[in-house]
Amino acid sequence: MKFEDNEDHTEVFLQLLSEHERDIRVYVIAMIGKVSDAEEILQETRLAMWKNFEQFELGTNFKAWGRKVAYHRILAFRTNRSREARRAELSERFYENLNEAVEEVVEEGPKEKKLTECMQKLHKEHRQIIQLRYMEEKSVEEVAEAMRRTLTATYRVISRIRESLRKCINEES
Amino acid sequence: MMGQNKEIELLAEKYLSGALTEEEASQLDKLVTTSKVSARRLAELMVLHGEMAGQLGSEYGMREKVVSMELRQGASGYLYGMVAMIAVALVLLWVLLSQPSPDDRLMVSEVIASIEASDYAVWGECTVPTATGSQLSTGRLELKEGLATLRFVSGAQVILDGPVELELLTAMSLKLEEGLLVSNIPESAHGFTILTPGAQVIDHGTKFLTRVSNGGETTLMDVLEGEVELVDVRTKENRRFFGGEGASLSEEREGFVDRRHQSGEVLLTESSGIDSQDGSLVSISTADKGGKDGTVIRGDTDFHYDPHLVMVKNKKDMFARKGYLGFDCSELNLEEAKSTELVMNFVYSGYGAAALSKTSTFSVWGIKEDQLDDWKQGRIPWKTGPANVQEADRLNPNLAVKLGEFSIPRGRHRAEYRMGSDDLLSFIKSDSNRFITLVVVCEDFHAGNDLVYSMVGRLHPSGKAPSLDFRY
Repeated sequence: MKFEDNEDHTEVFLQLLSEHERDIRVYVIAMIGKVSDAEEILQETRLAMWKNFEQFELGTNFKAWGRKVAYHRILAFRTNRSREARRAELSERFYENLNEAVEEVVEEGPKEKKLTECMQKLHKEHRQIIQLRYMEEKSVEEVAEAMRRTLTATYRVISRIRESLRKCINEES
Repeated sequence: MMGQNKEIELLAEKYLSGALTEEEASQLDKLVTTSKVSARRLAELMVLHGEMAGQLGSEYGMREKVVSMELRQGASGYLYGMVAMIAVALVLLWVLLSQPSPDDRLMVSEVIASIEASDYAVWGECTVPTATGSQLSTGRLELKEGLATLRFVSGAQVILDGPVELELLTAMSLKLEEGLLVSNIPESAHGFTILTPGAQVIDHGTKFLTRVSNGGETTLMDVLEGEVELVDVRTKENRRFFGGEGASLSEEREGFVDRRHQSGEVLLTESSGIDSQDGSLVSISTADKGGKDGTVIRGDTDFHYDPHLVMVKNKKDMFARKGYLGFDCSELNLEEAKSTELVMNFVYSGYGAAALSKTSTFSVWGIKEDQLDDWKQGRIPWKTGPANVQEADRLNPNLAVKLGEFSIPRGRHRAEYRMGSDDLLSFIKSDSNRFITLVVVCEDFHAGNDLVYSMVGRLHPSGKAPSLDFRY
C-alpha cells in the first residue's frame, strides 16, 4: 500500500486501529486468558502492526490481519511462559482449534450491550465477585479470601457466573 | 454432554487464570482437540472473559501505553504532535462515550410491579423495597419465609411462597431462581413469562405453579386452570399443558417429565433431576428399623457433642468430627432402583460460629467391608470408627471409597442437602449384607471457632433423620 506521506500513513493506521482495537483486544484476552499477559502481547502486536503496516492491503479485513499478527505472538508467548514457569503445556492443535473457534465468535460481533444487561441480572454477591475480579483486578485467590470462600468453591462460583452470563447473552441474541 | 460442559466451564476458569495443573491441561487439550462443540464452548467463555475485561477493566492506562509506545518509534516532531492530538482525542472520546461509571454498569431502575399483600413475610437480601404497597423496579427479591403477593403493572398476580429468590425483569416477566410461585394471570397479561435457569414458562391465560429447586437444576410446573407453555431452554423444545397437567425439566435428565395431579393435590417435594410420580420413591432413614447414626470425635470427649445430631468438622487437633450413617436396606429391592440420593437435614449445632466459616465441601464415603458395619449408635470411639484415619478429611482408602461430594455455602448451614451419584447407587447395589454405612467428612480445613456442621440424627425429637431416597 502506498501513501502520499507519513502523515497519511499514520492517520490511516490510527484510524483503523481505533476502529478495531477493541475487537483485537478481546481476541487476545480470549486466547491468552490473563489480562496482564494479554496487555504484553497487545503491546507487541500493535508495534508489529505499525512496523508492517505497509504490508496491509487497504480495503481488506484489518481486524483479521491484526489477529493474525497477534496469533504468532500468542504462540511464542505461551511456549516461553510454559518453559519458564514450568506451566502445564497445551498442544499446538489446541491453540489452532481455539483460535478458529474464537475467531468465529469474535466475528459474530461485540456483545457489550447484552453483557451489560445480563450483568444487571446477576445476584448481588455474584456482582460483587465480578467487581473484585474485573474492576479491582483481583486474582481468584484474592477473591476467595475477600468472599471467605475456599479456592475450589471460588473457581466453581466464578465459572457458574460466567456460564450464566454466556447463556443469558445467547438467549437474547 | 452436560457433565462435559460443567467440566469445561471449570477448566476455562483455571485456563484464564493460568492455574491449570498438568492433568487439567491434558483434559482441556483433549476436549478442545477432539470436539468442535467443546472448542466452541471454550471460545464463547473466553471471548466473554475478553468482553468483561474490556468493559469492566482499566483500559485507560493501556491506551496511554500505546500512545507512548508509538511515539517512541522515531516519529518526527510534526508526527509526534499529530499522533498525540489524535490519541488524546481518542482517549477523550473513549472516556466520554464508552466508559460509564462502575455503578452505572451494574445498576438499573424502573417501576414494574408492587407488593399487594404479605403474610408473615421475612425478607432476605433484596434490592427493592419490601413494605406492603411498595412500588418495585427491576431488582431482586428474597423471601425467606411466609407469603407475599406481587401485582405487576400488566395485571399479573404472582404469590411468592417462601423461601423464594427471584429477579423482577419487566411488567411481563420475572426470573425465578429458587422456590415456589403461584401465578394468576388475567387476560391483560397473557404471555406473562417466568424464566428459570432451565425453562421458560409462558402463560396463555391461566393459574399455575412454578417451582425451581436444587440450585436451579430442576424446574417444575403444574397448571391449575387454563393453559401454559413450557420451553426447555437447552433444546428449545416447547409443549403446552392444560389444567391438571404439568411437567418437570432437569439438568440430569433430557426432555419433559409429565406430572399429573387429577386428585387436585400437587406433589412439590421432588428430588434433583428426578421425576416425582406417585409410587416411584422409596425412602429409608437411619431412624428406620435397623438404622443407626453416630459421630467420631478426635479426643473421644462428650464436650461439644450432641447425641441428637450427626456432626462434622475438619480440624487438625481435638474435636475433629466425622459423621457415620447406617441404613438397613435388607427389605428393599435394590436391583430395580434407577437412582438414589443421600438426604441430610443440616441444622445449627450451637457449636462454633457460622459467621467465621467459609463455604465448605463435604465428601461422602462408603465402607467397603461388611464386617465394619458393626458400630454403635451415638459417639463412636475415634480409634474404632470404621475405616477411620487420623486425617479429618478422609477415610482409609483400602477400607472405604469416596462416592461423591456436596458443598454447603457460607451462611446456608441450615438447609436440606442431597448427594446423589452413579457411584453411590452402584456401591449400594454391590453391598452384599445390604447394610450400608456411609461416612460424611469435610474436605476443607476449619479453624477452632468455625461452625460445627451438624445434621439431624435419628434421635432428634423433631427433625427428619438422614435418608436414602431410591427412585424406581
